[in-house]
Amino acid sequence: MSNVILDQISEAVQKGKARDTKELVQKAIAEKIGAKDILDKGLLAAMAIVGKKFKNNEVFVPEVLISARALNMGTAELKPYLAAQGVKPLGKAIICTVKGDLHDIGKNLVRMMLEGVGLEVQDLGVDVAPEKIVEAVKTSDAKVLCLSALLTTTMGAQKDTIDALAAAGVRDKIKIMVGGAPVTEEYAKQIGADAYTSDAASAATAAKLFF
Amino acid sequence: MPIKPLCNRKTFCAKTKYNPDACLSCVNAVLSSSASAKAEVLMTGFNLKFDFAPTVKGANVCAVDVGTTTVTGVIFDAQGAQIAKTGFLNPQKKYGLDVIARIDACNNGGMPEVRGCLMREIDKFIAGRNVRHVLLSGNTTMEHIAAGVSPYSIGVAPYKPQFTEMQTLKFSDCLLSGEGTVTLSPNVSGFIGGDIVAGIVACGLEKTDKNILFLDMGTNGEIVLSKKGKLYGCSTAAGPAFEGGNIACGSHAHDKAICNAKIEGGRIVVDRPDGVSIAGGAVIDYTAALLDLNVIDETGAIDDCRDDIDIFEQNGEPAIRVNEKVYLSQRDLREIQLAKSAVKAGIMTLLAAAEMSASEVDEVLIAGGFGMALNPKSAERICIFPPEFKGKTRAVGNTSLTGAIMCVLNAGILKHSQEVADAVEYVELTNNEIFQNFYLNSITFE
Repeated sequence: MSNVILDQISEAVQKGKARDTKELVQKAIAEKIGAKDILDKGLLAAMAIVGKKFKNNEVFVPEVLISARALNMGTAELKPYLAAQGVKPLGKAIICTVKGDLHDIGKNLVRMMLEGVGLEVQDLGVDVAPEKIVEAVKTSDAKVLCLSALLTTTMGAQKDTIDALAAAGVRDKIKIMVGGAPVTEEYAKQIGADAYTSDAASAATAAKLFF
Repeated sequence: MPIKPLCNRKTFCAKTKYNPDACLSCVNAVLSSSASAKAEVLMTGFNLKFDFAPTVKGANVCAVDVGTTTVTGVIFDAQGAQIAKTGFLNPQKKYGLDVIARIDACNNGGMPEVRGCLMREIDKFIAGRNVRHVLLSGNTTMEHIAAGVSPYSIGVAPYKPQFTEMQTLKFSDCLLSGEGTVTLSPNVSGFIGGDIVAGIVACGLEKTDKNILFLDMGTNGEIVLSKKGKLYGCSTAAGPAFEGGNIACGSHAHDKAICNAKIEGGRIVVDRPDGVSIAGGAVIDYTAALLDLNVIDETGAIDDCRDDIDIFEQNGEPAIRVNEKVYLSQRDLREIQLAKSAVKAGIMTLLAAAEMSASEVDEVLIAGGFGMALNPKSAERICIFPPEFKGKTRAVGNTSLTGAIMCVLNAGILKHSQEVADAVEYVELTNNEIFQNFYLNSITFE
């Protein structure tokens, strides 16, 4: 019985039906289905499918945004129950666009996909100086840091950030992922990052492995 | 007293698709019986009267609106009577339909030709007409190019233009022949230009005691909110979808394009069944109709199980056949969703910046050629606006040209326009969490 509703929730998120998602989550809660199951088997299962389709160019940015909206409606309903039942997020991640770079759309998409795999994300914004990132890493228990750079002229700040973290003695505290249009696997290795991914869905899949 | 049109209505209005009865570029200066002269501008729903105190006395003056797509201009004689009028497609369109494409063209050594092709056409209009002053109103990029100033900085973050203040140049510095000066309408920022400032002046937004929202729904999607005279502005970079760009079978509203659509007898009918393309206004009409017929759901997904609508597969996704040559694909609908989401989110962000609710807005004015083509009911149906705007929207036509006319016929208004530009509080939407949240929540049709 419970599987049916969870499948329906997944279906609603995949289709981007925000109102339906909200109602189905409420229904599932009323039927005393565990909040963690609703989250993992209903909401996040849907985003995994959407992410895969996005990676395969079966759906594009608009569809991802529409599904993310439905996901948000669902998680908003679920939040108090997750807290009450002691369900914690998979883990924490920090994301930002590096210094000198104002692009945020790609970063925002990655953030949504990270939330879509159950991570709690601290978004530092754009044009973030290495010092600020060091501070955030020091004070957070995040296990993954995602650095986004969209221009060849700002890629260097990814290296600067990694160097600053090393100098501050916190490089080993966190796994660093890099991404953005001009960034490559090779460059990532060169600057000492732990991972490079080429799109938001892959980023989420890769980040999950660090938890 | 009715304004007498000086064009033959067939050529000008047919070319630019303006509703001839609402064409606002017809101006007559009315000399009253007393010593002071009055000018009168007829604009859709407005009747603006101001003193005739031209920027250059005893000579002919000209107002030009340099739109990214269309250029319009009028010339007035020393008594303020309109003696000539023009309207033509901006020749720069061969370098691209939007400002970014034109900035790219200029960046790659193309500036002389991009500038030249436009200024030559303006020169042809004023040649031999004893014009001594031209008031040129356009978006920031258009004004940079006209002035021969590289617009490259507008194309990269932080999108700061080389100038915003009103510029006055000699004809010879603007590739115009004869003796005279060109004044460029003051800009606010890289993406809110002199055309918007002229529009604010034309609609009296800085003086109003009402709450008015003003939109220019072209590629840049500029929005101005007047909270009883306090001005806020933003640019939503909605993209060219509303003008037919990025739509597979889309085009501008020309005389072979489908320009509107509606439901009749349970089916969607279009104004030109033989149309070769579909214009932005018609795409919105069609989308509204598809929603009403439940062919698409609130998420925008096409229900491809319908028998009564011709839906076929195009590049692996469903597409709706409009006529033999024209279809609307799932991707096209997504483009419209993204564009309208940007506009709606821009509106909501400005309201938030002004600490106002949508219900407090008294009027919604839609400027530009697209505004004339847009059916307000269709726009409401696809949720470009918050529901509280229902019944409050109307088209106001070419406010850039009207504002330019007012500035050239009254030097005081021209001076005042700089104060207006300075008074606009620019609300940056990029990296704006409030905008992003609204954007995400405005993408569906609900």
